Amino acid sequence: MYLPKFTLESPRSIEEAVSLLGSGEQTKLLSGGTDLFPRMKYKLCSPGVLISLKGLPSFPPQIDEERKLIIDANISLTAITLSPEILEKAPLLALAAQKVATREIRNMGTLGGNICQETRCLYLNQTHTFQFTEPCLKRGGKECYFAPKGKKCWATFMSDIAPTLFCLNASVIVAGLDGEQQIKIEEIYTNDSLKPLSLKPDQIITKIIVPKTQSPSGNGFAKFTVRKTIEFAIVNVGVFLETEKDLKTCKKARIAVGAVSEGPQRALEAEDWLAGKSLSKENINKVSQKAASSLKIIPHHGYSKKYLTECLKIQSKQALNDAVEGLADQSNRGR
Amino acid sequence: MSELDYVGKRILRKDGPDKVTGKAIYTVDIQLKGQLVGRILRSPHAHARILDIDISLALEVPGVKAVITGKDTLGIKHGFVETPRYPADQYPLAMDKVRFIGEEVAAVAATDVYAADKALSLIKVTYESLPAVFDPEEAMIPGAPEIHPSHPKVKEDLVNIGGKTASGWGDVEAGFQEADYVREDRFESHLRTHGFLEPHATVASFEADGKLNVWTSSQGPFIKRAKLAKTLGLPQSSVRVKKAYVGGAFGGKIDLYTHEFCAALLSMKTSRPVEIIATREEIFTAYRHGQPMIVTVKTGVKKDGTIVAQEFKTINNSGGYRGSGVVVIFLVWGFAMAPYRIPNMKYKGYSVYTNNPIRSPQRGHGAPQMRFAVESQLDMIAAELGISPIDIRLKNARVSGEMLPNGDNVHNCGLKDCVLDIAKHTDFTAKFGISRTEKQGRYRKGIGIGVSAYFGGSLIYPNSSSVIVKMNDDGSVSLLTGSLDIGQGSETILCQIVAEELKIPIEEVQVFAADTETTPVDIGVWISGNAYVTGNAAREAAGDVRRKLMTIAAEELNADIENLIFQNKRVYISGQPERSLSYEELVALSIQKHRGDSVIGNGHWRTMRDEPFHPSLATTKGRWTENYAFDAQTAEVEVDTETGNVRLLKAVTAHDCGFPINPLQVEGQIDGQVSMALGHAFMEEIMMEKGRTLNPSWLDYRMPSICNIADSEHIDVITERYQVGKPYRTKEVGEGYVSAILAAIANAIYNAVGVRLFSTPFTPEKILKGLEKIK
Repeated sequence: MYLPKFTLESPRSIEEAVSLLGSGEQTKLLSGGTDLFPRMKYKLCSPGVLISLKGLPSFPPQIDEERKLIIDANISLTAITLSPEILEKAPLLALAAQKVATREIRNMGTLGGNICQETRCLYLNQTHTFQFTEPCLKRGGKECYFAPKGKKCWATFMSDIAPTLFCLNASVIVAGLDGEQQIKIEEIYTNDSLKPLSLKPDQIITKIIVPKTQSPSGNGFAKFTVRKTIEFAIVNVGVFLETEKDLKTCKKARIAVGAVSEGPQRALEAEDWLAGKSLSKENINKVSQKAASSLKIIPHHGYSKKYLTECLKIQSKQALNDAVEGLADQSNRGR
Repeated sequence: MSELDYVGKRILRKDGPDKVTGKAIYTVDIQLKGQLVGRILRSPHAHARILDIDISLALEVPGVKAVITGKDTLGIKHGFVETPRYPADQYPLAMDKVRFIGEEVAAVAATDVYAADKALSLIKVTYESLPAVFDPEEAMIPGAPEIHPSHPKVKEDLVNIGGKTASGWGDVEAGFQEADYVREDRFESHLRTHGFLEPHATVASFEADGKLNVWTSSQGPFIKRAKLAKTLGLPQSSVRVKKAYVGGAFGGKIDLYTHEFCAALLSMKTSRPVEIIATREEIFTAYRHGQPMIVTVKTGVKKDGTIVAQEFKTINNSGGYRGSGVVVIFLVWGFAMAPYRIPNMKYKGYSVYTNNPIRSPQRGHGAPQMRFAVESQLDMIAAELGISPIDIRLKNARVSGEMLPNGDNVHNCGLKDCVLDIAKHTDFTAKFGISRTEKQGRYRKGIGIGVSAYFGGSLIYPNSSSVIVKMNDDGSVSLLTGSLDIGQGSETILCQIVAEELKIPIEEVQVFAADTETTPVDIGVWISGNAYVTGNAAREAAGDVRRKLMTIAAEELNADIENLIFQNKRVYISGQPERSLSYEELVALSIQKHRGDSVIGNGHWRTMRDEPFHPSLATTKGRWTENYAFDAQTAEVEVDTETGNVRLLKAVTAHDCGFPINPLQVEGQIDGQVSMALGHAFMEEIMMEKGRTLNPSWLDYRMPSICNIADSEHIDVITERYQVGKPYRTKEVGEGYVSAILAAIANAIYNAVGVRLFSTPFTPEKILKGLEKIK
């Protein structure tokens, strides 16, 4: 397998990158390349021009005067796991970054790239030289191999990190020909497998902003895979719990799930139910059940819906328990 | 008998330094002047007639030097098996029909891969699509699309039968009548692939003098030479297959592959070297995988667990051509009859054509499939009768000197010792006896056992090995062998044997290997025969040299041959070490006094001294081998009852491999097989849908990672010994240990949570379903 031929641009500023990006249809942003290059090798896209983000000014994670955490979108996933600022202000993000792929891929892959990755499907993510030669919906054709009668694409969005940004109530700064704007993380996703991101062709995510939290909080992240390494998730769950001072009563829960649908999903029903309740074993079991039964689940990568529902329940419980355990540790340390 | 200095020692691999320093030259490293890139056009149809192929546009692409289709070939078929009963059934490039998605239809040679792929896209093939069938049981039923005519000797009302094996002895019906308990179960084994890290790769260079030089990632050069010569219409003497390092094969690189033929023919057309390197995706989608198999087994036993009758029916899914399908249905019969005494047996196996890619051997070649079935069922029977899994195995296990129904003698058989030793080592009875009601909580542990037997070195072309050992003027030794080291360590053990016979430091044995022109013929590194067949040939060759050195030394030292001692490149008279001659001196003396004899030894070996042919694949008549290896393996697992995930915590292998020529390599083989079986058990699966592979990548075809590897322990049951100057009967260690452990894992899962699995892989989804049922 080899890359198709392309031209590489290396802008030195965001403005230059945006103007290059807006100048042609056949352009794509190159950050770590861990999602893009395999897709190019599979001929799922053949951009004539790649705009590398490597030459842009970069900055380490910062905590501003409002105690917000500001992260460069180009930060590598490895750097996320090592940043003292992130470990202090958004440990959930580090938990998820640590679970992505392998160390080699984390060294290359970036935060911006991870949350902007394309949706995946077994039928889609391979070359189509003699297998699946009729293009599917996502390749511009008329049919879906996964659900032949449907007129909908069922590719799933596999990011491990995006759900945790949902939990953290994060926003992104987007630069484009019209200037910069800040948008909520939820808004960059369309829940459409064909085009999972709402960003315009000239837009680049430059920063990720995590607001400060008042209450004591607990974090949990569960990623279920067969091999415990390199794979995309069967299902992943992020949990962020804000508690009362007792560290045992849930003030607000944010639970987000990935890998089982067209975009990350918040388990809103489950979150509402848990708010104000004690974080008891019984309640955690109940809220996990609620999360599993209330969310959209697409069978993917050979896993059935029934099985994924079961997995989601167990992984939600795992993530919630981890969050509660973290709170208990804080309590024991007298914080 | 002198003490052993090299054989039986933990000697490091000869090829290790080359590999870890990156010096090793693999086929993909070979770059010749003017080398072209070859690429292959494959069928998008599972079953279709080829009406027309238009290559005119492809030939116009700048950089394209040649395009070949079936019309450019001699139309000579080849096959894994080529016998009167099972003649070759596959063209190197499709001529009339394609029978699976990915079948090779045309090939291109160009100056670069971009031009080659562009040309492929411009070849216009007109197909007439035909109905296809993918499931072997559907393909057998009359009315199913005909892929090939059914074998003329199979008279049943079935279609698409590539071959049938039928065998038996005693009277099974009477046996079942006599039995106190009879049960019948059906087990299914799924499709896996070899997972060699080095892809298929070939460089072919047709020289001006008419010689075709070939480097190819293989399991032995001689079978490649024979099949290339045959299909290309060249004399064998015009084809030279040379050595390159091989990055694993596991049964997937044995006979002729189309890319090898195409590289050669493209080179002949262009008079330039041509390389073809398969992409990993091509290997996953269009190349040969292992053998999925359906095994139905009916067993009758007495109350005490003694097997009185066993009846088997097996069905393989051979794909669009025969491949090794008719071999595997024969082999599984052997894997059924070897470990246990079965007084009455009936066996029938069908190899069925389907519109899937072709199947090849894969490490164990049917043994995991058969042992999974038999050993799982034996545990069910034992439970029903209230007998322990250990006792039922001891009750039926074969012992030393037993004759097998095909006339083979098992000779030294350590099976009972394997079972006894492993039971003691693992504290099996106590662990197995913990009742499931005592096992509470999310994670539950279990232990299980399986046994297996495996043969080595059965007769297949080229049927024998010869080895040459030459003394050099400086007293060092050159070893010439046709054997190819594919990562299993063959060169190292051959050196150990030569070093032992000649008492020469192993560093002073240089190996020249696997070149059809300069090294003697070799049986090939499959069918688990290298250590036994080529090893004995090397021993004979070194022995020949030893005798010559001894004769000269006796003359010069004026001593009796019986009194001569070989040590560290010298020969001396027993008790008089000062009266000695170095090998260097002996070689010089031989040349001076024996009319130039520079001391060259040769040796040869064949598994069966007096059997002219391989046993019949159809009737199983005929002897097979002189050496059967036996093993018992236990698995300790932990089942997560919430997720259904199972972890193999510990595998123990008690093995009778005769004697280990290199214990370090034996342990490496065992550990490798345990991890391969772990992949088989839990995660590796080629997901196919209507002849197409859904997961053609390392990402989605899940081989175990370092995070999944289990603790693996070994127990040696030594049943043979090595003596200088005498033939030996060491047994195989490269394939047998992927089998019993698979059954042991299934049995351990049952022991842990009461879920009995009848199909591989043992996925969390199946475990959860099973748990739900027994709730």
